[in-house]
Amino acid sequence: MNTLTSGWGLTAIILVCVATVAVGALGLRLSRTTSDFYVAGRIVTAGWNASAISGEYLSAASFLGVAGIVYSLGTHMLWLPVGYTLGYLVLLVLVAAPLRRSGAYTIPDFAEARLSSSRLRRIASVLVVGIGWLYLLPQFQGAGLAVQTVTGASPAVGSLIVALVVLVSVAAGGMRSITLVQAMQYWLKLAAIAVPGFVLSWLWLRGGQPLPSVTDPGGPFAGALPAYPMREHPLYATYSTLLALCFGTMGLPHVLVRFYTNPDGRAARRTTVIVIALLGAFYLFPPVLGMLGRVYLPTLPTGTRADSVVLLLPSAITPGTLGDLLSAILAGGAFAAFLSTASGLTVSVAGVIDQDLLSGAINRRLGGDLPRTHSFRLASVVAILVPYAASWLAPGATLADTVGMAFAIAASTLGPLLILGVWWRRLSVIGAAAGLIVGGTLAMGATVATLLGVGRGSGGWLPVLLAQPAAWSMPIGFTTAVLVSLATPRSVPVNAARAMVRLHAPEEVTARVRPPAN
Amino acid sequence: MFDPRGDRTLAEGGPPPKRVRVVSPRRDARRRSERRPDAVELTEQTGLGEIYLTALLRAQLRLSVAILLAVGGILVGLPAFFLLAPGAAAATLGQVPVIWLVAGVAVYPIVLLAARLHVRMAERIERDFTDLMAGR
Repeated sequence: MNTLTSGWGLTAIILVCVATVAVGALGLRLSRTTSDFYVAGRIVTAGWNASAISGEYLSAASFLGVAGIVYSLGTHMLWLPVGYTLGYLVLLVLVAAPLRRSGAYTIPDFAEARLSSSRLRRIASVLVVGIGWLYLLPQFQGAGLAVQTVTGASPAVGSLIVALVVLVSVAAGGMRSITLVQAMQYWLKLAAIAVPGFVLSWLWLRGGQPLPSVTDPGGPFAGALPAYPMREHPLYATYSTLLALCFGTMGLPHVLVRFYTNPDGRAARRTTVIVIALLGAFYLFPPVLGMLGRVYLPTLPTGTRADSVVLLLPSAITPGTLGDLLSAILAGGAFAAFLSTASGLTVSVAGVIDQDLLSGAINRRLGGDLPRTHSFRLASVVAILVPYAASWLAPGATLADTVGMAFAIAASTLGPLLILGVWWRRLSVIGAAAGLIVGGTLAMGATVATLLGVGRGSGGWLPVLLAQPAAWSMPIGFTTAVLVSLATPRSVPVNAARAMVRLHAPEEVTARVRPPAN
Repeated sequence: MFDPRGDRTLAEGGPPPKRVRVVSPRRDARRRSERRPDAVELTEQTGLGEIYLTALLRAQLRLSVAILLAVGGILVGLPAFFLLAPGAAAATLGQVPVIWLVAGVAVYPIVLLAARLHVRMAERIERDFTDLMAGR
């Protein structure tokens, strides 16, 4: 890669970072009180909010990972982006409106409001922080990868840039600025992938290179490239991944927060529909880039991860100024993806750390003197530091795989908690806790075993089951919650029916009982 | 004239005292004369409220499950079909693989349609419920 490329790519990355901080600072001027800080004062319209949700959701795994995995493993991986979108359909039909009506800002809030148990809240908090950290990890790694590919600098540089920009914009602006930033990021990302996607496809059509449909240098496009081992039991892996994505999305730390920004349950539903449209539009493009990678980059230089195929592609198709320009656009878009997802996750994880872990301890020590905004800022430092440090230590699973594990854990724990909490009156506190602990232990155990390389290379079912645990850990977690609840009817909270009314009755009905207090 | 404090002097001459109105701090408490709103029955676990809530829950859940089964039915079959039938996975329409048109393009409008359908039906259920609560 020549110096021109690195110059343009670097410029794009710096521009995205500066824009993020600038829009964040703009939001800071608007945000005044703690409640503004957290939930944008709830004045965000459905279109803005949907853009913000999508902007926050499209992460490193979507921008680089999807193309990388379609490139390396073939067309069967097309189901991955489908699953990323399907998660919002499941969220819509099962929990969107009730979650908004619950008035919960975070999942621990929901657990406490629905089941009146501070202990359950604590368990949910730990899970939220854990899932958030696991999801942050690939954002830092992806940033390192992008900076390395564009400039040749060490991966540590990219991770550090993302960590610092996110810290500044989150700690300074809070949620309102983040809503503006995130909405902007969606359109930035869509443009940054659609423009190169169209230009490169057009160049390919004009060039007349054959599509690698049946035979290509690496074999049939349906299968994996020789450099990347075909996965065992692909059908199981596909279904398990789809299940994790469908039921994990609602349990991700940064998703529920955004629904609180809707004024009511109906708006929450309508926002979700727009989100599905926006995500679908975006996901048309990454697989196209992966496919073009098969045509023009049948082999990557040794030591290059498949995740960087998006960034290498333009120069391979059209060396020269155009290729450099497109590379720079893609690098900027990828950086927008890391920044937006990392910011959203950091706000949520920091919110939970602040509310459930830090504030209490600090207030006990200082007698409640510390303003809320200060402890939130402190919490956001903690929220970023841990996964940033881990990104140095963690071995290199692909971006899409690491994100997949976060989804699997969410689908095995918080997903069932939300679904049962919304639809089943007889969910008991002990049952919910048992479900979280059993599902969480299984899914996290499988994740740790996979990261440590248990059974790797041995073939057979074990590594597949561990790498894609959702298909078994989610049903086990779900069933545990149900069975234990049935066995402990006394620990069903007394106000369960009241909570259910609040979740499901339209606002016009509940407003008659209780005038809008506080 | 009745004076609760028994202060006769006030009644006889001088400026009348300012009236002090004693109110309950619970300003949002329901007035006794007010008609009992139906939604209260919902929250207070009366037999009737239980029936309303169960009906609403059941209607919404039935709708959600129907949507999930319809979309899931389509999507569960497709990966298996393309994986077990390599011919289908390799088939092309012009230059473009069929699997691409299905999994990479056609799926998204289907999901979007399902979402819109769900919103419309769920809002209808809620409207009916609101009308029911208001009309009684």
